[in-house]
Amino acid sequence: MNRAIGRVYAVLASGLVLLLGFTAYWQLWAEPSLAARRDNAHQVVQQLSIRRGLIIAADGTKLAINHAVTTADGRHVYERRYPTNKMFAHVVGYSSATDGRAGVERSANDYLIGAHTDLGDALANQLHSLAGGEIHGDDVQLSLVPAAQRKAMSDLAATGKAGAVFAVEPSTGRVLVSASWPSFNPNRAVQGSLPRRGSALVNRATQGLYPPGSSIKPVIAALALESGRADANTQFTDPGYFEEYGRKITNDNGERFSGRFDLTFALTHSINSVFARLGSEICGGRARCPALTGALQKLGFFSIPPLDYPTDQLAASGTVRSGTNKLLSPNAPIDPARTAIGQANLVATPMQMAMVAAAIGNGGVVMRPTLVDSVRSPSGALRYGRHSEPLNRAFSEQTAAAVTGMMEHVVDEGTGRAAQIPGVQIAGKTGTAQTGRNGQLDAWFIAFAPAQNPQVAVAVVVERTNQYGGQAAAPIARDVMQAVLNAAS
Amino acid sequence: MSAVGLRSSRNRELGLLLLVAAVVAVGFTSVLVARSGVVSTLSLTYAAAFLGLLGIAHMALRIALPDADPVLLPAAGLLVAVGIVEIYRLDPTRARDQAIWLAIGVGCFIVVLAALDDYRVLERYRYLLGVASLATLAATIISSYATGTVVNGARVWIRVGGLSFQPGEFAKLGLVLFMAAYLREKRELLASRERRVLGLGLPQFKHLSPLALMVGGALALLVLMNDFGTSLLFFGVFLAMLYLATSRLIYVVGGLAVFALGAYLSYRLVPHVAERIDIWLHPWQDVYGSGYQSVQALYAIADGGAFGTGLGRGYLLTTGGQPVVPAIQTDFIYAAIANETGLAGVAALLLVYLLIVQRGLKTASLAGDGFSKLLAAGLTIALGLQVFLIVGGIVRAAPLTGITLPFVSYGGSSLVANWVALALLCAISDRARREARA
Repeated sequence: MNRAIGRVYAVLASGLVLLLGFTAYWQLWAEPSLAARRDNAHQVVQQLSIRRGLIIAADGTKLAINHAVTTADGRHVYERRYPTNKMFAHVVGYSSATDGRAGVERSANDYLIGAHTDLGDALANQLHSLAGGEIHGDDVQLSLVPAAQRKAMSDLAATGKAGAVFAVEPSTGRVLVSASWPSFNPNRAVQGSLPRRGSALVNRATQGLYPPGSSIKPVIAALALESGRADANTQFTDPGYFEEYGRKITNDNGERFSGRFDLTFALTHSINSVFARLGSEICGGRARCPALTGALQKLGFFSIPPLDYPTDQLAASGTVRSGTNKLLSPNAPIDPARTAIGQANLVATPMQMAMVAAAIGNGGVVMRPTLVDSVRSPSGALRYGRHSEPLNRAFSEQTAAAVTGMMEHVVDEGTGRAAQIPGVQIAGKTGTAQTGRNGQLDAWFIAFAPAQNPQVAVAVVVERTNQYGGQAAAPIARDVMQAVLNAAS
Repeated sequence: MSAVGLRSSRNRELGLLLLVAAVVAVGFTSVLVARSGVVSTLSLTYAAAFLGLLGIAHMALRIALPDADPVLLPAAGLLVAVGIVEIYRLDPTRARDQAIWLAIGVGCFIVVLAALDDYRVLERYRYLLGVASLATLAATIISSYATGTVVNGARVWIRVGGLSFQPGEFAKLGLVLFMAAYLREKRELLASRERRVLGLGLPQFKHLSPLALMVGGALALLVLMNDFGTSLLFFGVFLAMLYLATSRLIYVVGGLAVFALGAYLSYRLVPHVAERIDIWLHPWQDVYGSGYQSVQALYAIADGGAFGTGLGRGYLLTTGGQPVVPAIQTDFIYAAIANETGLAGVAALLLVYLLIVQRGLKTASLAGDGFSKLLAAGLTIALGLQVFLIVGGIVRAAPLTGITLPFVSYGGSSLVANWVALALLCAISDRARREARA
């Protein structure tokens, strides 16, 4: 039996050696790739021992701070606290040991944990931590304007509907407002009591895809001008409808404008028959329409916006496969006339529509949108400072100026009168999109102010309402623009 | 002559125990330093109580089994020390419970030494032990179905009053005793080649049937218990003991073939088993669901690196006090040790197990009679295989099973049963070493 015992010993011993080999594999070879994984709860807890940098709004309001806690096993760690509760939930996000990270807390994590430093600083940090010292992250300053954000959130809440507001500074691309309603309390994420999924967790401002309706018409007007299909003097008539693919595209309520009028009048009263025809003409009657989709591309459609924000919390606007949110290529066939009135399969995020308004206000140039203004070390040293970067020229300066003039008329005497601010010239455009659900509308308003030297461009959407964009969305846009202008002065 | 050998064995043991004492002192102090604020110097009373218990066990061996192997007790003591320090670091209340269980375990160790003047009397009670073990398993299942006691999908717990037991841990001992006695009696018959099947010599079927019945019954019960790990363990120990008794590889080959078939069938038919296999092969498929525990354990192990984060310095608990890896004090304690002591630490831990396996099998080869050989080998194989299954499950060398790391994991039944097994091993080695010298 002893020979057999010897063999059994050999088997058991090799088994234990095998275990050692596997453990060594995980600890020595696989370690770096495992440490980098986002689902690594261990790393999240480990990073809790770092005093994360603060997240600060443009006026110095603290949006994310630290709260010192002692764990059950006697470790001194920091939990995040969000003093503004629901107000900045989507854009600032959260950093939680149980629920991971979202929003700026995720996109700026390297700065916030002090890891986004040069080699010398990293080494100093490492030595500091070996000596038992705490690591302090860098403070991140955002461009958000709390007064305007608050106004946006309270106005959205007052509608009783879901909705979103996004505002940027047209000349720079700095994001001023990113509001999504309903919201959630990010402090609950820290406690691990956030619902796993739910409508309130979605950032409607950057991920919500809505048919833009008539709010896309300024883009069509600009293309009509640039293609030479229309100028300031071109006269139109309104037959009450435009027929494409054998089906009529009518004006709202079957309305019909009599007589001859110019493009400004058509935009001011948002006349569908005119814009549907222009869309069809711009595309030369063809379904593949680079003239239209190419212009949309220059405005940022068909790709994820290059915002300093987590990519999976951003959605690309564009044409989608019917009944889905699956983005099609810009080369895919479209329905030109219906796309030109913001229906068919065209969808856009509030962020994208704010960029459209900003581009018109900025003389036709689309600026790269940014959330982070600067990053500073705890001692005040500048680690990062933003600079403005033009992405594309979407329209010529003359075209942008002409469209701006038309959009001023919309607010002065057209569908967007509810957006007027005494003493400030506003340029805007309403949108009211059929949602496909009976009687439910998505109400839009895009605008910028002051029209001739804009400091703010905004897009507002109110979901599934029974009101027009001029009723539901325009007053919110007015309040938000007013708040930005007040904060600036 | 005998007196000299006696003293030298026990003195070596005492020397080794002093080494263990040093490890315990360093371990508790390290946790104390790392966690000042939460942990008080009271922790050192744990160290003192622990060493006191080992001292009592040592004295008991001096009196009852002067020739017992001097390495077994210190090695087991070292494992318990590592476990209790790590449990203490994760949850001081549980460390207190574990200390109480250790006291009960050492008590049982002494009772076994005192009550069994000659452990070979157990051979006479083989059927009683076998049937009692099966009855215990059956009672567990019945009570589990009656009271609805299901932990992690397995019906392995029994509740009496406020206390919970895992009777399977004791049934394991009983079945090893039964198999050792039964195989000793029938080994010639089982090794015979009276019948020829497909050119292979096999014994008569009637000699095989009681064995097949007993083991089949045990495995069937374990399937009912839904405890994959214990089934694997029993089957492995059974095959190894059968091989030792008969020296015929055909049993191992045949057993593995039956096992492969059974494994395939249970993979297709038993959802619990299928899930375990899937987690093993694709742990990242459902990181936040079924694969969570496995994946987080790997992260914790990886983070330890070559030398670990230091005792008490790993990031194993969330701010809410929840462990980062579920069941980290029990089945997954290997992950915590790998995290805080690194590859160096777990290499040492595995070497201690290897040492126990080596001493246990050495005892088996020294032992004079078949029963002692088979019993010593069976107990040792059960320990070694259990380490392989649980650690292998964690480091993905094998499918994940829910069994304890012997002597280290938190858990009363397992700790007490292991001390009883240790007492038996000491008793066998005492006799074997004395006979070998005579």
